[in-house]
Amino acid sequence: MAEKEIKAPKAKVKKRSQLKSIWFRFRKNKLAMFGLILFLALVIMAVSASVFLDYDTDVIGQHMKERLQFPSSAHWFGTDQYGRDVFARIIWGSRISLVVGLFTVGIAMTVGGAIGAVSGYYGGKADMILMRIMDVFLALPGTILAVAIVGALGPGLVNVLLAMSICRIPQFARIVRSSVISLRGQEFVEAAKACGTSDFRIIMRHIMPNAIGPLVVQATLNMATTILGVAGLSFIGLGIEAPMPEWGSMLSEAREQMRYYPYLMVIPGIFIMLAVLSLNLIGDGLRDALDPRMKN
Amino acid sequence: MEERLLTIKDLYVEYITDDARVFAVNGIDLAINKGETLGLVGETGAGKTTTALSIMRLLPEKVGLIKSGSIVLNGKDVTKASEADMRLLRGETVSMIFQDPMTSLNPVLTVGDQIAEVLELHKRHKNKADVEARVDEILKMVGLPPERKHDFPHQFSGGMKQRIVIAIALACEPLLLLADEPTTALDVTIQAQVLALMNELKQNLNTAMILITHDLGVVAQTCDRVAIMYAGEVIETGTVEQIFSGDEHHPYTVGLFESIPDLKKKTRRLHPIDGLMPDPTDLPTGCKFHTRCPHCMEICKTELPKPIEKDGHLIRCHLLEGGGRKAEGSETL
Amino acid sequence: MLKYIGKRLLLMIPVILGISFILFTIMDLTPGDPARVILGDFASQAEIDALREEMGLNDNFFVRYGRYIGNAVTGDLGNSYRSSAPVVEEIAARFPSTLKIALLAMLFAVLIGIPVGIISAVKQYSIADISSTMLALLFTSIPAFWLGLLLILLFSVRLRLLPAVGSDTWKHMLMPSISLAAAQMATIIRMTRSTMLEVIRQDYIRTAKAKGAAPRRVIFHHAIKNALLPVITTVGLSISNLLGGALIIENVFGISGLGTLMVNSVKSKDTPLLIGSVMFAAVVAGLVNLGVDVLYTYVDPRIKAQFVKKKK
Repeated sequence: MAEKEIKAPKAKVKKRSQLKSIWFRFRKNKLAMFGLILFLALVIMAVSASVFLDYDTDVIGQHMKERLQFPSSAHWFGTDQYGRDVFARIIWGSRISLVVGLFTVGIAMTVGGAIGAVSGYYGGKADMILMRIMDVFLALPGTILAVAIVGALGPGLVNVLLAMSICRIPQFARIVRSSVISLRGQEFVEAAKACGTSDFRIIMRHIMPNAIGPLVVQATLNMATTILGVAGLSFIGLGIEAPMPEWGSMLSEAREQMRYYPYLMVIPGIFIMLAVLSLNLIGDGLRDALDPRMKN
Repeated sequence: MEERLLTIKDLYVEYITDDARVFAVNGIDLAINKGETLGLVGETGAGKTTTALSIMRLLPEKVGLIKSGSIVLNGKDVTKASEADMRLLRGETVSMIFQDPMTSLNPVLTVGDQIAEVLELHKRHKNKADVEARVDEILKMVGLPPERKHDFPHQFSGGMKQRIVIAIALACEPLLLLADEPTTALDVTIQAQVLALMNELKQNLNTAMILITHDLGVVAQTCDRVAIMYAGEVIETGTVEQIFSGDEHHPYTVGLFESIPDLKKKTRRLHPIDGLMPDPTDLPTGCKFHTRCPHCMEICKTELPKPIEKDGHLIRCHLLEGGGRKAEGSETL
Repeated sequence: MLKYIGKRLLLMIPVILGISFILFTIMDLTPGDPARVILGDFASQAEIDALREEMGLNDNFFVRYGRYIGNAVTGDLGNSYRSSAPVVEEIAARFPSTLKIALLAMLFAVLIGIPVGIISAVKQYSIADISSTMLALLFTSIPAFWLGLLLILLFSVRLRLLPAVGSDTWKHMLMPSISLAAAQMATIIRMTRSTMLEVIRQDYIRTAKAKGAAPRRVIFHHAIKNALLPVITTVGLSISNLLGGALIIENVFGISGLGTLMVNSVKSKDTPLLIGSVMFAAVVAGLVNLGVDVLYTYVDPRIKAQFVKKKK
């Protein structure tokens, strides 16, 4: 108690804009910064991949003469059973993982957010029906739902993306709904209503900016689980199919060679882990920065 | 009767956090006799709670630190006592009532268990039945039916919870009770009841009490003596009469009294003290109040005033130094 | 209480119906003729038509769905297209292996996760805390199947201590459960640590200290029970996640459980088997969540009291 009491008068530094102060707190978190740097490195890797790699020759082109070479200066991560350079495939793989992660979260956030906003804002029957439907999706473990959907749609990049998005919609719907419900009754919303503002505008201009914090955190952490999930699906052959260099399917291919060429299996795993770790670190850091009281 | 129970001498307490050093208590002296009630008054952040926690040695671990000074409680210096010795003191010799009864009780234990715990910890009774009997007795004492001891805290109202907290605090009949704003979180009607109960019990058990509050009305009703704190210092102490009707005061005390409405006097508006408490991480030099004091002089900015005493009424102000004690507010000085 | 459980069970019915309906619809819309799947590529059109008629595939969608649900209520989930064995039997044969590794994984996750989380919080910023926090971070990010492969590489290929595939003995169960447990354990560590940290800052903990309680007593008697309440929810969610994770882990270790059953039914377009096993998983997940909620009411007097009041 005493501690809190004394800290109260320090409010004079509060002049900084909210975004700046969030960034300020985020920057002080070493782990979060490490995550951010790691993530940016992956993004640079993904973006620059097409500059110095040609998909057809470097990534999926087979060179049987050079198959199964251990890491060397010519092939930093060695070559696989088709003589493809693992380093090139890993780099290209970052594109797939990031794109699938971003799109999945983007779709899930838009659709889920819309459902949650409508549900929370209007309440009543619409809320009841939408939330019961979300419950149906939430009743299944995510992986099983994804497998069922992929089973119906068939494997492949687009289908996996769709399946993953559908799996994530309910979570976003719930978060947005609870934020909207807690903000709906507040005076600034009443005031906007009194001015004759349209419902859509109220939701987008007045409610959403206040709900954005938890949404961004959820999106970051969700992207991490999506990348893990996609790799898992590809690993069991229900995700992105060969010869696309998705990290999970690379791992799956490497299983046969695992006994004598373990690097083929170890390296993609490390990259999946780094991508997921970076996003988890950023998500944790954001959560702490957005809500300093929660920080331990 | 005039037996000294607690003597605090030159106590300094700091909070050390990642980004700052907070000077919470800066050299206070306090004394309390057995059975006496001392009111500790001041704004939020004046260091009242910190003082109480220091007596219990319950400052937040690794953050709150007793820098120097001594706290002699019943002949024992608690600043030097071992942790094991402190545990014997807590609950038995000194106990504390915290501000918010809603959060002071453990939600997953029955209130009976929570009262019994303090008895068991201090081995007051030989067997379970005796403990239970004592729990019943204490509950009756604070005005609650004993059969409710099997209930959980959430089944009680705020006022009832505070009664339970009081029951826990007084179960071992401690010599000193530290009550940290015990009524602030309660409804006004309940406040009076709880205060009356505390007063009655304290009288019956001859417990001394330090009552932390910022409600001067409560102080007038219950206390024998008053200490007024500002920015971690005691700036004025005296008996209730001296503080409430004496003619010489610290300018801060004057300000405090002027900021409460008085129905007897017809005033158009209240006179709050201008400005805010100084930042405890960066306290002003000299008299801590000089930044807000209407009578600030050059000396106030550089030199810490020494306490000046008259009949046990202590005031720390440069205005009263020099040619004896001058009336507060005199512009001639 | 019984009334509550009954109500919750009733509420599960529409959810299960919803799942079956969605699955039934998607499977119906996807290309591929079940009769062709059953009879193989060399069957004549006449044979296929006959089988379609026999299976009632030419009926209206809602008629077929109604029939399916009608049978499901009596415990008949249809026959597998591939093996023609009843789906219920297939599930019953496969589920025990999945249950075994999932439960063992749960045991690992809880028995390691909760104590480590508590120690981490009580000794905040100590070396033990920092290393367990780091480890937890790492484990939340490691793909379970990769961890499984690494374990195989180490314990089966290099050290030759454990068998890499199969599910016959407890030795077979060890690596699958550990790889399955890792992520859940990490989540439980993080959750326990953060709730414990929150709890030990509460006023009632200070009250306990003010009574003269020793640190050990404060932690064990006052803090843990409060801290475990949110952890129970996490554990409940974990079980559902474990079922999902088993899908992939079973593949790594060649265990023929519910997960492999599901994956194979997807790959071979075995609709009744897929719908049946997914519905079964949903029921299991639902029951587990119900169990967790019931457990919660026993641990938290505040929630328990709500039921007592409602009963009156």
